[in-house]
Amino acid sequence: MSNKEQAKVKLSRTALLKSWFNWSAFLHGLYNWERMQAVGFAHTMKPIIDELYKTKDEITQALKRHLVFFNTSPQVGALAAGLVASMEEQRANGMPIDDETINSVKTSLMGPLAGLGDTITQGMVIPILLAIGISLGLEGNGMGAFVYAVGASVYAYAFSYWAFFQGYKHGGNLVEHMYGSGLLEKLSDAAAFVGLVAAGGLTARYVNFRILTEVRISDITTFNVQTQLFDRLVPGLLPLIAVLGFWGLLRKGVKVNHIIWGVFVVGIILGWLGIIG
Amino acid sequence: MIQALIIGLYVWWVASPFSINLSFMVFTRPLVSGAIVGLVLGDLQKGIMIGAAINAVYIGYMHTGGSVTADITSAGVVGAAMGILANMSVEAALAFAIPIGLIGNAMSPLMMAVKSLFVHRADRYAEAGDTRGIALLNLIPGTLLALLYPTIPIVLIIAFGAEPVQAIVEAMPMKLMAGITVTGKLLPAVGYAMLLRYMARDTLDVAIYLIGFVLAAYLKLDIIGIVMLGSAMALLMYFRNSDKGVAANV
Repeated sequence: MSNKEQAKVKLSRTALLKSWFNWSAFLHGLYNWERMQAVGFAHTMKPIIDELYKTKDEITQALKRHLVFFNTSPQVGALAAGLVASMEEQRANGMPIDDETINSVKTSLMGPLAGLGDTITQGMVIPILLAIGISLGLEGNGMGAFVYAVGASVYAYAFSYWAFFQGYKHGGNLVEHMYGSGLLEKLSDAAAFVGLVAAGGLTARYVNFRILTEVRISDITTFNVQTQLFDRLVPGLLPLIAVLGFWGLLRKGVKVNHIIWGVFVVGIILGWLGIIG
Repeated sequence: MIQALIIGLYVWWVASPFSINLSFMVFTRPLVSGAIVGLVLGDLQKGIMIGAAINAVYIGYMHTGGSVTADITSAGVVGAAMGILANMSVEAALAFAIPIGLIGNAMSPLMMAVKSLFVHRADRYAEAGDTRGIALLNLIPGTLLALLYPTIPIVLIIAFGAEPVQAIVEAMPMKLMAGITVTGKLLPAVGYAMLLRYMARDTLDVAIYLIGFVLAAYLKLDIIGIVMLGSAMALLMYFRNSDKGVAANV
């Protein structure tokens, strides 16, 4: 009889969809240094909390547990939100899941999901879509912007939808499966591979500065370093050297903003003197 | 003036939480914002050409852990608008946009610091069990701050900047213009270096990057071909089930 009284609480489809939308749309609403996506995460949990908890104490406790520091990658990270929604549901059903458990799941997921998500989204999807859009855009073709906008929007929402409901459906098992089977690592490595190959291709295509200086050999002949040496033997070598050079600086821990300002100064000098163009 | 306000509304929407997170993915990108600014100012073709040129500088730029490296919203919108209104060449508009991206970059960390001040209000809402308060807090301060920056400065520049900017660009020594153009050609290299830094698990992964480079520089493959080949290689390397492979061979 007591079983019948304590009918299982099940999150409605509407609450889950609202939660997913809050995540996908407003995760960065109050993005800040102190707790990064914390308020966005609490906002994500609002529909879940509203449906599961009735007393003020429960609601306060739930909000507090989701207002802690959180930071991950928006699309792939939706998996964490779906997973936490399922944990809240279990907790509301009397499963022994305390604040500590939920918190530790969140903090243990946010790092790996950020790494995987940034690799897929920012390292692979965005640069590739941008490259396609830009090649059209440079010719003055408005479709370039349209193709990119549609591609990136569909990716963002479709991926986060999929990840959110995978997280909700499989719950903790999914995490174990992903870690246990090495799937997380494989996905991450594969995305990094595609992203790196694309970055190599984009370097050859979109970094194109040339040496303008000509070396005077005698009064009548000059030697053009670019056309007579680089273009013939090693096209694109200079951009490649530049990228590898900046990469070396980043590896040494030089801040990227310092590099950018350095490039600004050096670029103006080299351009002013007509050495590079 | 009305055009400046329409662009201002666009920028406000993009910078506010109501851009439903498509700002980062889509609408801050100069490729897209350049086209939209062009549409508003009646020259879509020039808008997208400038936007694409500016965006080429920032293809590889990543935002991780809140640290940004360029204000691409301002660079794209102001670059395209000034390029059209002050009748600049695509190259000149690009040269004008790059310093804006650099200067505006200082604003993002500042905004995130200001938003930190509101987090404690969230704690109070939590204490009161006010879920609606949390939701509003996630939306309202960000919307108001987005009006302060970048919306108002951008509207002012577009509304009143065309003539002074035109004068400045015309008075600019050719050599300085050439210098900034070179900066624009060097900056993409920093973006690819960032991608390389983030994605190369170890030094040997640079070899993967080199494969892509060779495919484009020597074999003249376009980017879609490179991505397809790269994906095929990645699938074989990481997802081929070794047991199945053996079974199939037997």
